[in-house]
Amino acid sequence: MPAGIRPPHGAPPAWGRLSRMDPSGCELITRFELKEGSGAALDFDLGDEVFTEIMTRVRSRRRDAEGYFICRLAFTDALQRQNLFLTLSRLKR
Amino acid sequence: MPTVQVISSSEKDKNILQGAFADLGAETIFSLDLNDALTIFERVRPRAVFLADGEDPPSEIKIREILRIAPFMPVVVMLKRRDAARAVALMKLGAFDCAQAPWTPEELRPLLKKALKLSGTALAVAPPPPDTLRKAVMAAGALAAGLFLFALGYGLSQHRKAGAARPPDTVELPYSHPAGIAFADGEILVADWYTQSVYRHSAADHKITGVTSFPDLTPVGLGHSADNLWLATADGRIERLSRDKRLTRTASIAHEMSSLTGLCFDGLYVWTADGRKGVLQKRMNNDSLRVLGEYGYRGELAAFTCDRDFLWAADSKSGEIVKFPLDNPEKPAASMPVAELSDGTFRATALGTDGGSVWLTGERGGKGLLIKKNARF
Repeated sequence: MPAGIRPPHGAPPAWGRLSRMDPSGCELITRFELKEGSGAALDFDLGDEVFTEIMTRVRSRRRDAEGYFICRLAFTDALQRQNLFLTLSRLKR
Repeated sequence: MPTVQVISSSEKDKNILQGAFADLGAETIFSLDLNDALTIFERVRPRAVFLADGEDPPSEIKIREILRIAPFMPVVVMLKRRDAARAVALMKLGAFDCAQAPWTPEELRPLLKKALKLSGTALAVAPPPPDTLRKAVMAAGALAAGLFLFALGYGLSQHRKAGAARPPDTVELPYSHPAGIAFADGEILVADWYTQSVYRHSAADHKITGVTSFPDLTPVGLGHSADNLWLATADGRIERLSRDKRLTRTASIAHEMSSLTGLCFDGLYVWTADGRKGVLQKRMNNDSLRVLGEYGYRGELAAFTCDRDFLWAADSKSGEIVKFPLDNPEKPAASMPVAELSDGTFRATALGTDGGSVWLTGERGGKGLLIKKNARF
C-alpha cells in the first residue's frame, strides 16, 4: 500500500509502503530515514477512501537486510484512529 | 546473477545505469522503448524492470503494459528528481518503488534487493499484542519448541531403530541403462536409453508408478522446470515436454553439442554440459535455447545438473560431487567424495537434485542404480 510521507521541520516529502495496519498504528517500509520519536504525516488510500495528513509518531525503527527502514508508527490523533477503525472493519467484513 | 531489464532511450543514462547495475552484480538488458522492451521481455524473463521516467510513452503506460504481461513483476521507476507525489501516484498504478536521481549504486542497491523480495499489506482490526504479551507468547513458544525438539529427538531415535521403514539410499532399478533424472510433482523421473522410456518412481518407496515410451527417441539426459521436462536425445536434440501424464512434446531444439552429459534448469536459464569437451553452456530459456555463455570444466565430467543455487557435477576423475555457484561456474564452491564414483565398478550417467538431496544414476555390473546423497556440504 503506497504512502506519501511528510516529515517534520520542512524536510522534503518522501514515500514508502505500509506493510501492516491496524487502528492504533502501522508499519511503514521506506528508504527514507525517519528518526525515532519524530512525527510524520501520512497520505494513503485505504479501500476506496483517501486518508490525508494522518498524524503519526515513530515508535521504533530498524533497517532490514535490503537497506530499507522498517518503522512502527503510532496514529496519534484519536478521531483519525476512529475513522481508520471504521474503514478497516468494513474492509475486513 | 539476477537479470534486470532497463528501459531508457538516453545513451548517457544507459552508460550510468550499466555501471551502476554492474557494481550491484546484476546483469542488465537494455531496451530503448516500450515496444523493444516488450519484445525482449518475453525472451529474457527479467527478475525486475527499471524504467527511466520522463520519456515517451509515459511511465504510467509502460507500467500498465508490463504488468499486463507479468502482473507480479517488480517495476521500479527512476525519477529524474525527488517527487513524492509522483512516486506515490506511480506506485498506486503498480510500480514497486521509485528511485530518485542521481541513479547511483547506493540509491539503486536497496531497490534492487527489495524488488527481488515482494510482499503485500497485512490489515487487521485489532492491534498486534503489546510487547509484554508478546514476550509471554514468545516464552510459551520457546517452551513448546523445547518440548517439540525433545519429542522430535525421541522420535528420530525410534525411527533409526525402525530402520527398515526408511527407503534405502541406493536402489537397484528394474532397467539397466538410466541416462537422465528429474523431479516432478513428488515423483522421481528416470530416462532409460535402452528401453527409450521415462519411468516415474514414487519418492516414498521408489516403486514405478508409470512409464512413458518414446519409440523414436533415445534419451541421453533429463531435466525439469516448473512447467516442463527437458529430454536430451542421442540425435543431438532437446525435446521440451509438458509435465502432463503423457509427457506431450511441445518443442524440439538442436543443442549442437558433441556429447551431452546433462541438462538442467536453474529457475531462469537452461544449462547443458558437454563432458567430452569439458564445457558448460548457459542458455536462454526459449524455443531456440540460444547459448548465452560457455564455461570450461576442469576434470572428467561424468554427470551434471543444477538447481536454483548451484551447478552440480559428478567428477569421475576426482571421485567427487562438486558444486559451483551459478554466477561463477568455473570456481568450485564445495565438493564431497562419493565412494561409488571412485570404486571403478560404477559408471555415473546422470545427476539430479530435489532441493535437499543430490541423486546419481548409473550402471554397475549390468544393473541400473539410483543413489541418493545429502546435498548439504
